[in-house]
Amino acid sequence: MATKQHQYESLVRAYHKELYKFAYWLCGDPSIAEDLVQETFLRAWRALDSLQDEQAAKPWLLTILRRENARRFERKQFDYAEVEQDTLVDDRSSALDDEMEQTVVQRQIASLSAEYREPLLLQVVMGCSGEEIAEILELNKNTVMTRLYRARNQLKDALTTKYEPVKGASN
Amino acid sequence: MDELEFRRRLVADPQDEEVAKYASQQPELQAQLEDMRDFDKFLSHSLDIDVPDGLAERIIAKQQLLEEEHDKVTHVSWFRRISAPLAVAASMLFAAVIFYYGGLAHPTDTAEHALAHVYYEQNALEKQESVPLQTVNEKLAMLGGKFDTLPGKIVYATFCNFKGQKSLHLVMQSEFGPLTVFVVPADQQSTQDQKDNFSDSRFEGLIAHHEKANTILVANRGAPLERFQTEVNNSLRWL
Repeated sequence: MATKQHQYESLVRAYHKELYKFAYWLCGDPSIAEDLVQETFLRAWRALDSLQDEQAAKPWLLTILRRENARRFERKQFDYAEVEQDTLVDDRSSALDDEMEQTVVQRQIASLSAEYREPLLLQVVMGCSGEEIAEILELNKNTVMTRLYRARNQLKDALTTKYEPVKGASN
Repeated sequence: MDELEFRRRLVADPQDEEVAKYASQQPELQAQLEDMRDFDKFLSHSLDIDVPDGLAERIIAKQQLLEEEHDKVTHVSWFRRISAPLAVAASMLFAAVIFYYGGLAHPTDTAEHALAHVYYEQNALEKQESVPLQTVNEKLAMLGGKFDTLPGKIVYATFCNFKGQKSLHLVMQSEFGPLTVFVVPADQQSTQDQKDNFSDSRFEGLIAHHEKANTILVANRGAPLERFQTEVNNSLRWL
């Protein structure tokens, strides 16, 4: 019991931040993100015995979280996702330009379709490898790599197009 | 690897070590690699939002609250099955466990905790089977208190961890629906007599501070909490 509790607490401390960030970008709402992370860890607690290998903890938690997020849509209680992205704020004290630039990127990421956004978030926010993403999303690795390629290309294009007219005007 | 594959793999995963090795052969590819890695750093910076304070503690506290609930179910069935001395021993063990976990619980506002606690144990609100005065007093005795008469039909009586403190959690049925009472022994700081009201969309609550203990009542909105509070306090004696 004490060992299980200990194992659980180290799992929470090791992964709650990354999971929260991932959940936030998945649903676009801070309080839903917190609920998702809470629910994920409660389920993880109940099923902790099934986690044999600590190394597999991250993909395991992410799989639970994605399932929780999907359940949210099944219940049709909320329809926050894909909207409210306009309200995204980042209140860290960085330079104003930096903040504006960040908001632009955040919007662009939010406007990617889910099939591109999710692998990208898993890679950039969660630091998952191609293999891990393939496992979590139940896709083959080639498909994952193709989606990552397209996601980054789309983002780069969108951001370049956004900035270029401004540069052109100053010439 | 040819340049096409290089480009494809670089964009898909700028941290790919094989891609980096390939790029080191040509300055132009090296520049592409660095450009893509900068872009990645920028993305990761943009996605790095703040995580709410105390999230880990809240997650752990929630699990512990549910765990206690689970323990209590076991605890009640023990009382039904075995005789009084053993039941008291089990009760003391249970209290010790709760006390131990109590030290780990995250402190939250009393009112907020009371409401969360009631929601967690919603099942208790629907119980109808009466708990005898003796059972309630057996538990209350461990906190140093005693009910002269029951202030209503008690349907649920168990020890709880209330904000890290061992307390008695009672539910009684009234004509205004279920009434939850927490009897929380007072710590040194809160000995002055004062009352605080709180509520949410479903429940209303009243906190009364007394010398020996605080009583926290939670009932459906519109229930006469002041009257209930007086009834509870008139029948509660401290040894």
